[in-house]
Amino acid sequence: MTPEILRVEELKVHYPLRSGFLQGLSGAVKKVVRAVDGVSFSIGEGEVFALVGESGCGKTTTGKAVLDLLEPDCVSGKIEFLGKDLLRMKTMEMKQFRRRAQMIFQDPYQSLNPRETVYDIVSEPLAIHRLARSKADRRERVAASLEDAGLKPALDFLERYPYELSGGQRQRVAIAAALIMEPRFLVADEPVSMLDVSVRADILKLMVSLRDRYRISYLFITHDLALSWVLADHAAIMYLGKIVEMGPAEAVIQKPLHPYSQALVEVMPQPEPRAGRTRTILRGEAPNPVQMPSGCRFHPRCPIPLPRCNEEEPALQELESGRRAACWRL
Amino acid sequence: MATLQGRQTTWSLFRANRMGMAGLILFLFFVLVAVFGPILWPYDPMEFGSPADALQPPSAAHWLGTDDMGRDVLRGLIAGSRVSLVVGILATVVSMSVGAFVGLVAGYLGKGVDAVLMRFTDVFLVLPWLPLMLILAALLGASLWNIILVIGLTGWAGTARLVRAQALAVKERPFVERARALGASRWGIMGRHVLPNVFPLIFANTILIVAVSILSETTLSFLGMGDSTRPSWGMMLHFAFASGAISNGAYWFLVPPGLCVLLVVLAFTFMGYALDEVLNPKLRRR
Amino acid sequence: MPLLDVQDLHASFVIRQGTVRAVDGVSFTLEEGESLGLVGESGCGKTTAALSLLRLLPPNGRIDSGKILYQGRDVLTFNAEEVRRFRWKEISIIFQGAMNALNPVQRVGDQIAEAIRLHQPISQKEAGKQAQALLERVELEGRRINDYPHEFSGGQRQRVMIAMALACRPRIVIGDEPTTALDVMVQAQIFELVESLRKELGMAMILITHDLSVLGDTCDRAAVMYAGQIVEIGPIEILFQSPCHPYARCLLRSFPRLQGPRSMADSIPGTPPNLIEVPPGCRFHPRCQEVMAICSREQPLLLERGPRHNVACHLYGKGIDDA
Repeated sequence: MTPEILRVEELKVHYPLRSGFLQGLSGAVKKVVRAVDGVSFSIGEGEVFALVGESGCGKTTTGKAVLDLLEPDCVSGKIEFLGKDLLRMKTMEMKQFRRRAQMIFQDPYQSLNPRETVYDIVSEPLAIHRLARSKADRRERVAASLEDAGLKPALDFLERYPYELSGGQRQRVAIAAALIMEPRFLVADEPVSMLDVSVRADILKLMVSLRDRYRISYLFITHDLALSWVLADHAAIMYLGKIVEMGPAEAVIQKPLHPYSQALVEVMPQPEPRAGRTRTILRGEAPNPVQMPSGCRFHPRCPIPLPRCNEEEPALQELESGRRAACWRL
Repeated sequence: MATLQGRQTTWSLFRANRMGMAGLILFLFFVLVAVFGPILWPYDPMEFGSPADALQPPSAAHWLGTDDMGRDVLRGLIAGSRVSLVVGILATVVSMSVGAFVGLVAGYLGKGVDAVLMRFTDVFLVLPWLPLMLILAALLGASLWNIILVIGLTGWAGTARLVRAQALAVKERPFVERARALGASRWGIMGRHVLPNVFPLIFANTILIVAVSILSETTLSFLGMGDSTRPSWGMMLHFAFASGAISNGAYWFLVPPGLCVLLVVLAFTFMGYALDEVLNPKLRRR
Repeated sequence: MPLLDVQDLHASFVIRQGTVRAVDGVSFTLEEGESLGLVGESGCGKTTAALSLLRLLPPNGRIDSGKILYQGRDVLTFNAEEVRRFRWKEISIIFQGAMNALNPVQRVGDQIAEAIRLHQPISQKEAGKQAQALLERVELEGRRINDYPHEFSGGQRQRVMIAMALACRPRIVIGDEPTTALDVMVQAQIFELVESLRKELGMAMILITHDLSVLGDTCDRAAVMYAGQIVEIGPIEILFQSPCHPYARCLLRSFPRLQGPRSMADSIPGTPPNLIEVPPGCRFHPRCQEVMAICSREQPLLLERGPRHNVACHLYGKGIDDA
């Protein structure tokens, strides 16, 4: 039984919408954007957990909430990292947490300070957490981290600026900056979606090798089911702020149970000739999270709704071992 | 996709800009005059000539004639260049420092701090700067350092607004969020990530502020608030007016200082606009 | 006679560092009603090639040589008036990122009507009615002709772009990465819509994309581009099942399949070449796993390998046996 690194229970992220002056006067109910509305999952040591969904489903918000990067007022629920509740941590404990839990961002062209050299960028964590004993020590650690991230020879890269590097190289710099603190947990938010297709595999393989070598756990946020297929141990599919299906990645993708998961799997573009492909293409788009449908959030677009779906929201129930889905048909 | 704007290309882009280069050459000319001029052609404002020498038109002995006290106008002009430039630049340093600090803190910290600082800034934006400067100058006394402080402390508000706007934009960029995720402190982020990325965008504005500062100093001195032991071009204009140079037709006393102010302000304005074009790609002509 | 016959097209554009040879000898044909995918990674020249067809290159770009034969007539010899009549009426384009291509301060209906009236001498009112009908064709409500672009979602804006592209019933429609940045579900909807409209109106299509996997649902044939040249072109079945060119094979392997093994193929080592200083011989040779001595000396020609299937690779050149 692998030790648990992260446990999330009933995580909610609600953003209040500023109501107009008159609305405020009349005492009307303040509108709230329920970006994440009760999400629960856990990640074990060395596990890759994929959080899959389309834009607006709340997956990135979940990732940021788990690293305490959001306005504390908007976040509620329980986030336990190595047994300690994140939302109740004191400053010293927070600093320790930041060392152990890091994030890889989506846009390698924007996530590095354009005015800093690679050395500055990768050594910043050492300065923040006082991890190096001397300048020489710092330099050595930076070089080691860069090599770990696949930038060899490291010395060539130290004095370069981000604009001199390709997208893949920039992403490696970001990974090196995270690695230098010896983290236990990484949130990867669409880490390869802005890279050229032929470069993606290298970065993903790097992430896997780091997992193998250092027993790092990943929360892998993506819209691409195919990536979840090749990388993830467990997968959770999100829709409008809630998890609709969760379980071992293989099972969820090969035999999806929830109608939304099924549609998502069917619609995934595959490099195969089209003859004989049957797909359910859902109509319309996900509604605005401010106007949440009644009952099951998915029911307006569901190809097989029941009358009950309009009235009551289904909870995430355990079906087969380790598999959960939220649907009245199951 | 590597971007082209490295530090080395800013200069080459600037060099290609004719307006900027004209301004730069003019500026360098005045810098040379200010630095070496008073050494080669010393000027002592206390050395009065005899009344008979007052307001003499240009001659071989005095290329630009004499002023109301019989002193050589050209030498006064050269000495004045030092004063005007130094005051202009130092006052800008004061105003930029205060403005940048206020803008940075307000923009990055936001919420309550932002509200308080911005109301404070608004007050300074709205106050009429000339009466304010005059009052402060009268209160503090008309020494050179006080003039610098006065100009700096009345002119920072515009910069603060500009810096705040830029700080708000930079704060949203992913690399700032990444720094937060690393555990960097707020002040660490402001100094290391926000300020360096705001700075190039306000650098052009800085140059223009120097022009404004020089004009402010000229105005103050013209109104009599200047330091009479260290006369600037503005002071020369003041004395020109006070001694009735216009009605006497002594153009050589009135026009040169005014022209110098005009040229220096033009130099900084040209450089400022050119820099704005270079640093802000959207303004560049295709 | 094919509807469109591009012969040895060369296009470049000038930047500070030099001249970028974005399209360097591209040839292909397009039949009536056929859909062709143009696939390649960023910087391979596919967008430049498409814009050349409409003669819509940016000010620093130019077409250096070649022929673009539309129904037998060379588009590159058209005068300004002929180009104007040709654009949008015969061939139109759906741009990537509708928000950049739509005027944010003009109502959507007016923009479509404008496109129509540029090619048909009809009244504003009549054009407005056609615009409304077009919106309904793309599954949006007709009364939304009075809405502004920002009032639509991303997917809906792309539908507006499609409506505009179809306004004059062109014979050829070019889609330049029309679904990048859209969710998979919306992407599927858009492609389904385009396909049904295409069949109904009998249009040919050139779909430009970096995503090989979307071609399966939409294209009959595909051309793989690398560093400004087409390296392989042929029926989609062949490209997916047994591609010949090493780059095409590598590209295909970069897309994990849900039915396949749970593993990733290796990335292609190295980076695409700088189009200002292209490597001698075959452009792909520095990164090719099956490189031979001749590859660094001579550029391979696009030679026929099967019916309407051409490959530019020395592995399949004259006098060399099949690998």
